[in-house]
Amino acid sequence: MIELHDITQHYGVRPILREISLRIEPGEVIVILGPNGMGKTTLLGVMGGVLAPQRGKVWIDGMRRRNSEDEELAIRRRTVYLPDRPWLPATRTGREFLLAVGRLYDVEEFRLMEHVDRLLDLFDLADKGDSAIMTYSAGQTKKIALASALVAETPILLLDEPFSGGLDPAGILTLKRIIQHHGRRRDRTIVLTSPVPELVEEIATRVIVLHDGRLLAFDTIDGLQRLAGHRGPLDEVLQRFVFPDATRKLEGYLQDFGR
Amino acid sequence: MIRRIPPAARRWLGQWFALVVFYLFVELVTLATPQPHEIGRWILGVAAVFWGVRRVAAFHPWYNGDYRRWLGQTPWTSRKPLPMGPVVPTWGDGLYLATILLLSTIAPEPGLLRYVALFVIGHVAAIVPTIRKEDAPIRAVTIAGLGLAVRHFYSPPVCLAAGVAVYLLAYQGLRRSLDRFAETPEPYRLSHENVTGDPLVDQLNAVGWPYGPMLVDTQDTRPWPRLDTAILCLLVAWWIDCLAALFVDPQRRLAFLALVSSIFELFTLLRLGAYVQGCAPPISFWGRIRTMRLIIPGYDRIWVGTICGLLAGPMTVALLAGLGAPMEARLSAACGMVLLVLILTPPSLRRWRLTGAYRLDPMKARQAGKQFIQAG
Repeated sequence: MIELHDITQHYGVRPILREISLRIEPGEVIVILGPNGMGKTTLLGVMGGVLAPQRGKVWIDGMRRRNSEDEELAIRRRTVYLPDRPWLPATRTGREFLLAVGRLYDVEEFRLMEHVDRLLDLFDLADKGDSAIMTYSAGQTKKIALASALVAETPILLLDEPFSGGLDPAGILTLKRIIQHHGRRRDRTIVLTSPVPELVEEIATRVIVLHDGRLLAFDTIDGLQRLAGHRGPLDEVLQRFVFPDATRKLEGYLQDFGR
Repeated sequence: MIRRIPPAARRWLGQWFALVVFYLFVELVTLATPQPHEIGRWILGVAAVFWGVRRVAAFHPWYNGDYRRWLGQTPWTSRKPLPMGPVVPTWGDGLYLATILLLSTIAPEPGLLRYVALFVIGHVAAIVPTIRKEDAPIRAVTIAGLGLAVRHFYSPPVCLAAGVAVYLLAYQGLRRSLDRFAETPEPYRLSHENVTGDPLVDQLNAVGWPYGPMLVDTQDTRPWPRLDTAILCLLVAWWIDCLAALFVDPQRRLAFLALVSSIFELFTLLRLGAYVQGCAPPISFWGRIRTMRLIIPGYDRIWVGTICGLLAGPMTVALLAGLGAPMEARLSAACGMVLLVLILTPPSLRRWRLTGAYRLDPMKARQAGKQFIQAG
């Protein structure tokens, strides 16, 4: 369970997050949606513990973030936070990297080795698994980073834009299937961000819609459609939330300059 | 003929021969200089210390990871001789030392006892790290006694007496460390897991950012008990005072102490550097001013140790001046006090890394050049 209370965050003068309070139940797959620069990554960073909010508190499984050494360490051991573009050890092989991450999370050794093999195979990295990460393409580095989040086998996964960064269609499909699988089994709490609603429509239990640092909505897709008064796809629903004038402006533009 | 000599004896002979030839060559070259035996004395002094250190450093398993791990896998006990050779002085060491003493007779000073004392000091100094944590009192008294020997360097009989007394104590620590050697077997590690020799750095390097800073536990998981810290700082102050005693000229002695005190003041900045590395302020400086949040307690608490550390030195000097302590004692004590404040002022590095109100920054990974690459 992840609980945020009154989170306000600003790096400079302009607040990035404003008074956000929400509660994510165990086993949910939550997608944070919103246009660029609206605070998605910051909100995930606050949950992941890489940011200390100026105001507000974060609880993970009943333990408060950055409150005591033991609690924080326990939270870190049961949470994986994977940023959009993590820094990977260039000279280590993909397999070494995954093994090191798994050991850091105390995954049992034989299970870990088996899991690493399976993940490398799953993400089409079996041939590259024993090559240094510096020889990987952009998409392959993204895949190995995603595999590292999965190999830790933590109950909470926080993934920042997991579908971006040069991931090929096979990789996107694989990741979607894995998230869907965990969503169905409700064995892991997964929070991810995405600027593209179509990618996450099928996997989200609930959706957080952010705009200008404020929580516009936090509901199921059905709930969002009801709130927006529109039964269309998620991108159209999102547009009605975030840019209520955008449809009218677009129609006006196409009428005047569409020829 | 030479092939028949065992390798260890051949090595010994080589080192013995190198010392004799090198010393005689230097003596010959510097014979016409205004201070003909000065460099030669240094060579013999360094050779005596080196040989004392070598006996422990080359044969004690503590100094050789591979040897230590291998020995841990064997049924060796302290009742049996160490397979690579003993760590206590042997006849070979005696012969080497005798050579040094013989060579030293070429120069009229400083006398034979000083070289024997240097050998003993080097030997005990090499034993100190091998003494186990459980025998901390033995280690502390040994370090203090070594300081006493160094302090009386210019009185060879006292220096040697102090060295021998402290050796008898250090030997107890050495014996106990070897007795309990088999109690703490080391886990077997694959070679690629131990690249830098520092497990913490290796772990950080193997997982990148943010896994490293988030998950690799900082080493001060068991902060030293305050009494141990106080003893450590007392020993540091004592040793600085003893080293200062090596400077006969009072002006140079004070200059040395002033330099060491300045270095200790610099430690406060190094400590701050260790805390802020990878931990950026949660809000920019401009943001602080514009939002009038000039002090962020959760982040700015790291400044407390720095400021206290910077003030501790001058305040100790002033306090001891009021008590009429000599300048040497004031400066040495100031160094110990700065260290004490830096270690004891909260938060500890581990507490800071786990509970500080900072923003985790991949600065270190970014600056590491080709060691890390960014995914995606």
